[in-house]
Amino acid sequence: MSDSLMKPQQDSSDRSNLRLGLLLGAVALTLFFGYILRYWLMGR
Amino acid sequence: MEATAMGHADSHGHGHQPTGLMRWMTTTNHKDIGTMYLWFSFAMFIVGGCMAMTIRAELFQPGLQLLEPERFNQMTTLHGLIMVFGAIMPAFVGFANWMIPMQIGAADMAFGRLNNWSFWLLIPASILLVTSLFVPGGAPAAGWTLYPPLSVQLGMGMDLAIFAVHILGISSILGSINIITTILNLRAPGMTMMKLPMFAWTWLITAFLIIAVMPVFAGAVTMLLTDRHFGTTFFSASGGGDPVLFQHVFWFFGHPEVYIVILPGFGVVSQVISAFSRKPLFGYASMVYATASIAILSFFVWGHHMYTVGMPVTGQLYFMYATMLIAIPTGVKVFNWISTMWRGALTFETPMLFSLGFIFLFTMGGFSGLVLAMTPVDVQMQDTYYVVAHFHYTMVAGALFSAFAGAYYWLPKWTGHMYDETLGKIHFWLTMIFFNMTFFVQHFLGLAGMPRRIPDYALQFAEFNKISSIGAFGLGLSQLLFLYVVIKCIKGGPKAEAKSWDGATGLEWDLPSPAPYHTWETQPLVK
Repeated sequence: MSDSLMKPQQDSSDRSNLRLGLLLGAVALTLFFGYILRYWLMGR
Repeated sequence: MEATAMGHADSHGHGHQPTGLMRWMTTTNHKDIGTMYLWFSFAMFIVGGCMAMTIRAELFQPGLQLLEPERFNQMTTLHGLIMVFGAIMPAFVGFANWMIPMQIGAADMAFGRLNNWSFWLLIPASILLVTSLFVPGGAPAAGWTLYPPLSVQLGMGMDLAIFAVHILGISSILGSINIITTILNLRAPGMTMMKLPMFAWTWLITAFLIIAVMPVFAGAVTMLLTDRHFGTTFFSASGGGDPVLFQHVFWFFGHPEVYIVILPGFGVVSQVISAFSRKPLFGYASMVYATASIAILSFFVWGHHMYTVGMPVTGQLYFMYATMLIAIPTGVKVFNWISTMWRGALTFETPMLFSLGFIFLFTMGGFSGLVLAMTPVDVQMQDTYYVVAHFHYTMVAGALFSAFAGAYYWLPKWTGHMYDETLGKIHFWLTMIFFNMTFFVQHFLGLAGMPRRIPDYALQFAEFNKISSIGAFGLGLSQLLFLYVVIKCIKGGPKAEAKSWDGATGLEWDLPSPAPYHTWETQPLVK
C-alpha cells in the first residue's frame, strides 16, 4: 500500500477515536452536572 | 491494515526518546505508563498497608495505646480511600495499559497523551490525600464513605480529600475513555468481540461502569464541598436537605465501585486458570454475559448498604432480592472456573495458586455477602466486624489475589525473566495463611457485636483481636517478599520464552519476552 493510501486510513481511525472519546467524555460530564443540577433545582 | 499500523508507528517520530525522568514524564508508550501505574499502586499499597498495621497495632489489645480516637478514624478513612483509589484501581489500570494493546493487536492505546495525563494526575491526588494527615484538624475521619453530617463538619483535611477524589475521578474517567476507545476501535483484523481475551472483556465492561458512576461520586463530593463552604444545604436537614441523600448518591456509586475493583480481577483469573488447566475457558460466552449481568445489576442494589436508614420494608425487600440475584451470574463464573479445571492438565505455579486462592476466598466473601444481603440479619450485623471481614474477603482476596496472579503470570512477558518460583509459592502461602488469620476471626468478632471504626473494645474481644493483629503484621511483612521477587526478576533470572507458560493462549504470547518497546506496529491477523 502506498503512502498516499495510508494517510486517509490513519486519519479516519484518529477521527473515529476522537468521536468516541468525546462522546464518552460528554456522557461523564452530563452525569456529573446532571446529578448536581437535579438535586439543586428539584430538591430531594 | 498492515500499512496503517506502520504509518501509525512512523507518525510518532520514535527514535527521539527523552531519557531519565523526562522519559517517564512525557512518555506516551502504553508499557511505560503501565509500569508507572503498577509501581505507583504498589507504593500506595505499602502506604495503605502501613495504615492498616497501625490500626491493627492499636487494636492489638483493649484500651488506647497508640492513637487518639480521632487519629484512629483518620487512619481507617485514609486506609480505605488509598487502598481503593490509590492501590487497587491503578493496579488494574496498569495491567490494562500493559496487556490490552498487546492482547488485541494494537500498537498502543488510542490516546497516548491522555494516557500519560491520566497517570500523572494520580501523583497530586495521592499527595493531597496523604498530606491531609498534617493539616490542622487532621485527615478526613468520616470513613471512606465520607458520610455527612460528619464530613461537613470536619477540618480542611476533608477539603483536601474532596479535591483528591475529584482528581482521582478525572484520572479514572480519562483512563476508561482510553480503554473503551482502544478496545472498540483498535482491534486487529479478525479480533471480533467474541474473540477478545476475558481480561479485555472485563475491562471494557469495567470502563463503562467507571464512566457511569465516577461522575456521580464526583457530583456527591462537590455537593459536600458546597455544603461546607458555599452555604448550600444538600445534606443538611436544617436547610431542607437530607444527610441520607448523600448515602443514596454515594452508594449508587459505591456498589458499582465494588465491581469496578473486582471485574478486571475476574478477567485475570479466567485467563490464568485456562492457561494452567491447559484448556480453553469453559463457557466463554456465558462468562461475558455473566460479567455484563453483574455490572448491570450493580446499579440496582445500592440500598443494601443502608438498610438501617429507615427505608420502607418494601424497599428493604426489593434491595434484598435484587442483591441476591447477583449470586446467579457470580455463580456462573465460579462454576465456569471450576469446569475449566475439570479434567484439565493442572499444574500449580504461583499464578495458579493465587487464582485458586482467589476462588476459594472470594466465594467465602460472596457467601458472607449473601448473609449480609438479608435485611433482618444485616440490621444486627451492620457496622460490625462481620462487615469488615466480608469486604476484605471480596476486596483483598478478590482484587489483591487476582492482581498477584496477574503479576506473576505476566512478569516473564514484562521482564524477559522467569521469577523465582519457590519464593513466589512461599509468598502465596504466607499471604494465604496470614490473610485468613487476620480476617477470618473478624467474622466471630462481628457476630459477637464488636463495632467497626472504634479504637477500643470490650475485654471479651481481646483474643480474636490479638490473633487478627498478628495476622495483619504477617500479611504486611509478607508483601515485602513480593517486592523482592519482582526486583530479583527484573534484575535477572532464567530467560523467559516468548510463550512463557505452555498452556497460555493469546496474542501477547506471540511477542518476544520481554515485549519490545513497540509492539504490533504491523497488526496481526487473527484467524
